Amino acid sequence: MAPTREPDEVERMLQRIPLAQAPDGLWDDIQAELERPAESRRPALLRRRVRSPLLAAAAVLVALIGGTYVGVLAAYGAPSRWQVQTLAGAPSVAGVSLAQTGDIGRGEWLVTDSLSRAQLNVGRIGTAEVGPNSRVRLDPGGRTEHRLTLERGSLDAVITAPPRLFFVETPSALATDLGCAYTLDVDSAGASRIHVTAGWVELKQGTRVSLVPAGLVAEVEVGGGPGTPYPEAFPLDSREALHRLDRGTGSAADLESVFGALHPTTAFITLRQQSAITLWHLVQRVQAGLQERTYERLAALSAPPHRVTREGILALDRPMLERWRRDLNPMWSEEAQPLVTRIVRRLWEWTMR
Amino acid sequence: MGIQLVAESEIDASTLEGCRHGDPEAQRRVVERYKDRVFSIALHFLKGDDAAAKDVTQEVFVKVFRAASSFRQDARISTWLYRIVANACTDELRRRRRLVLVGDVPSRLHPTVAPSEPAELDADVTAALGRLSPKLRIAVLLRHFDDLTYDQMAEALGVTHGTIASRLNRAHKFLARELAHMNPARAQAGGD
Repeated sequence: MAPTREPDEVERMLQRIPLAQAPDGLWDDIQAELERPAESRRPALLRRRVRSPLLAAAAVLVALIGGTYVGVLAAYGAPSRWQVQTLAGAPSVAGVSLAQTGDIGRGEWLVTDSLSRAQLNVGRIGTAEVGPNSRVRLDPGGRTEHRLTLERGSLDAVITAPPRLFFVETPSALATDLGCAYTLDVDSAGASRIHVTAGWVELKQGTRVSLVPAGLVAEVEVGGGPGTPYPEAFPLDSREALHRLDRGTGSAADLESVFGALHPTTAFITLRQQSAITLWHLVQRVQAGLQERTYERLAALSAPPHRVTREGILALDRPMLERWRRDLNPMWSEEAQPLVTRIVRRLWEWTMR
Repeated sequence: MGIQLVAESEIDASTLEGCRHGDPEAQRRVVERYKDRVFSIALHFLKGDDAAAKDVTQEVFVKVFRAASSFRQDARISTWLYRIVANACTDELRRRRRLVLVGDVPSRLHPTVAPSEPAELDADVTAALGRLSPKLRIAVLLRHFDDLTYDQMAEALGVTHGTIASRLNRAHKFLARELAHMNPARAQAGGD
């Protein structure tokens, strides 16, 4: 075992540590610091303290954004070619009859006859089944935009991804997936009909937008703009009355016809809220003379939430309308989500808008 | 050989009075008198990070001069200054501990004075010093670089005379143990 040195010897050894010379220019730095205006004073050490955490925070932020971007691209990136599977008959891609499986590139058409059906893999976010007598084209989009054109026929889409990653253009409207499953039909005249079975779809033509939640149906005529969504079991005469109200030619009788086809105020809340979505659209579209009556019925089906007023709705205040819509049928089942998740989802909706 | 360590006389009253009134010439005299000692203490306390030691040295003098008007005439300026040195060193050490995760803390001492002694010996001594706990290390450095009395050190560090005695005793025992492997002949050959 090595012997321990005596304390005196330690003192002598410490004497060997030289006195270091302070850096040149120290006095100039001190003087400059002393002369700085009071509001901008901050000792060098403090500057280092603040700068380093800021740099670290900036680095973390950049890494988070970069990581999120890479993660989003990895999970939701839109491939340039999509896989296609034959489900029945002999569909064709780019004019060539498809074997059991194949793929479709941007700008190419997938065509089915009356006996054939095919399934498209929508990148990694879902599937779209193309029905008989359909023409579907894969369109170019952004890095995460998955885009199709449905010229005619039908499409059954099931998408499991955040909103606004899957778009289907038809001759009459653009259907934007908001996290959902739906069936979209386009007739030979180009009119569209959508039936949403899960989540939401946004239908847009020009400046007119319809938001269609699960359980509702919406129709769009070419050049007519998306119609008001209505419950699946809506009778034909009420649908026609609804179309007239949408076009601004409806009467009080048409409005009563629609009211009569909606769920009563005594129905189960989910059904009442479905009907309320119809009225939520209608209150923005009917003539002034019918608007108050529409509001009354809407409020009877589902009371306006906090910070939504009658005056605001009649004035078509957009934040109030949006608040009420979210209260009627939240797109993300927000009640069950933690606050952070809800904030992230709102941010996502906002950035993708 | 390194710079000879000799206890210097205190700053004279007129210089102190000048500092109280913000006289740059008086301030410069104080800086000239203490800058190497303050820098050396910071440098060895921070295990050779000379950029941080320079910042600490600058901060110490700036604080001293900004607060000079409140300085008691009957107190020793060195005691006051070394209290600020000890606090600034400790603050810097805390900051460095927080930054260990991002790895910007140098681990080796880079002497600013070329040693005339055998390099291994100096390196061993400074490394052993660096392994002392901060409380023991600052006590040893204050004692070594300005030969403060126990009472002055106690005032500078805000502890009792007995605590200073205990800390220096423990530090010396630790250093004796850490340096036991060194060849006494070589140590002597370096000259005292």
